[in-house]
Amino acid sequence: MLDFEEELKNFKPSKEIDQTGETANKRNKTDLVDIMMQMMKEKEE
Amino acid sequence: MKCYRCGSKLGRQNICLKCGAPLDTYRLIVRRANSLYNSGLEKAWVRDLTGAIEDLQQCLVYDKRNIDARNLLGLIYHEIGEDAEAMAEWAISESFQPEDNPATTLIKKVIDSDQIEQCNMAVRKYNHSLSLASGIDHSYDLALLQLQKVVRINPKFIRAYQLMALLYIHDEEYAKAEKALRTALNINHSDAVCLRYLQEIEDKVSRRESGREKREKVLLEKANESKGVVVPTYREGSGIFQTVLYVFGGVILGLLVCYFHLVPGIRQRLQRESNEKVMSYGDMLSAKDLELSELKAQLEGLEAEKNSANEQLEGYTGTDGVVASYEKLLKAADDYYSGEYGAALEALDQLDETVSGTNYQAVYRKLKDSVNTEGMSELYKKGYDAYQARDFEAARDYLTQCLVIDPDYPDAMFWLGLSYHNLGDREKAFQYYDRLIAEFPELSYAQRAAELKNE
Repeated sequence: MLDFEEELKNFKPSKEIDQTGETANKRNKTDLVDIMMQMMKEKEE
Repeated sequence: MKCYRCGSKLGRQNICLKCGAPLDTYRLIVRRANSLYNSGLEKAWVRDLTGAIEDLQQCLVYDKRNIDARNLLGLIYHEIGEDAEAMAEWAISESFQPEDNPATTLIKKVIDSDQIEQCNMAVRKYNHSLSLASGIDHSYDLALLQLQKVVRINPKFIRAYQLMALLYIHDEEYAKAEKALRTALNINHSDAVCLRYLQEIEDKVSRRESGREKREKVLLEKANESKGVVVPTYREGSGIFQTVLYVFGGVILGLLVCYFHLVPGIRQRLQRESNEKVMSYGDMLSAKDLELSELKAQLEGLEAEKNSANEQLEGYTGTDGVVASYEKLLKAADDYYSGEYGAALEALDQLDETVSGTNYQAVYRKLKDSVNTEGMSELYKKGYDAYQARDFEAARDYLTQCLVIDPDYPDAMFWLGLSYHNLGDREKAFQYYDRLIAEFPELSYAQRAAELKNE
């Protein structure tokens, strides 16, 4: 059974294209390759 | 495949031949990322876009520099109407590989096709409809009208279809909700929200139908249980009066049917039309507001520019402005060349040396030096000569000017005192004698001044 109010709360405002920079900054995170490189650097030190 | 450390091309070796970086773990990570990319690509082909997004996001957790995965993820976001997300992915992709990157073409296509404004408008309307639906007023009708506009502008905006379907389900308009969901599912076959809402609709419709079937069954059973057959009875007409009564009753019944069945529909249509009008006026009003605020900002900017230009002009043309300073400097020069050294000095003293312009400052300093050195000696010479020629008044004037330039010049002081003495103004003469005696007692002028006082 669908709870209308609860379902409505799941909808969040959408972003405009002008906010691309903000989105891109949040998205560009550390990946496994970065972690591996960091570990190797620490090992070398 | 390129080395993660030095960027050189790699062979089959387990270390980079150029920089010696170990490659075992790196190869594992890249292999896993590629496998996830392939899985995402396969899912995208069959329009399982939700699954594809999950795989591609996972792939980027392994290797954020996987350009193909990032570009495909952007393309999928674009396909489901999330253009801001799409542009973000392509922008990151372009930052990792600025040259020979399909993301550059994709971004250019979106920008050139004027889609940005359309998408932004759809997003703004979607956000507005969301605030209408979740606001205190619960204006679901207005929200639905906005959402219809949204999907007309951006027919791939899945989230708008989802919200539209939810509002239709709430209004128990299941057919419309189903239509919106089917449209969204044609774009993304595996959209979990759409599938859940569709299941809900199917449940509700089947429940309603089973209820109706039950009621019909009960009625049928009751009819079977009733004894005997209902035979329609015939009664002979009872005259013209009854016929008129039946016709009149039929007309009233028809009017009542019209009132209860047709009027609400018409009223609803009129209400919807007026709502649409209100919405369009609201849109126009907000556009005008935006235009007005932009014009206001422009006006303020122009006012500020005008004030600054006026201030600048005042700096040039005002009483203490640059033009006035140049005029005073010219007058000082004129006085100097006319031999009016005192006036030249006074004019120079009134001038501001720091007025901008290197030429002005150079002329000012040169003129002041000339007045101080040449002017003073020239005035003294003229004063002395006038005194020797017994022209005491001229001597007084020249020597007074000389002391304006240098108030502590003892020679000028002495001859000016004598000039006053000869003009009969002993009081003035004694002032200069007293200064000589007090300030320059070692000079012969001081002794001579003392003698003159005692005479």
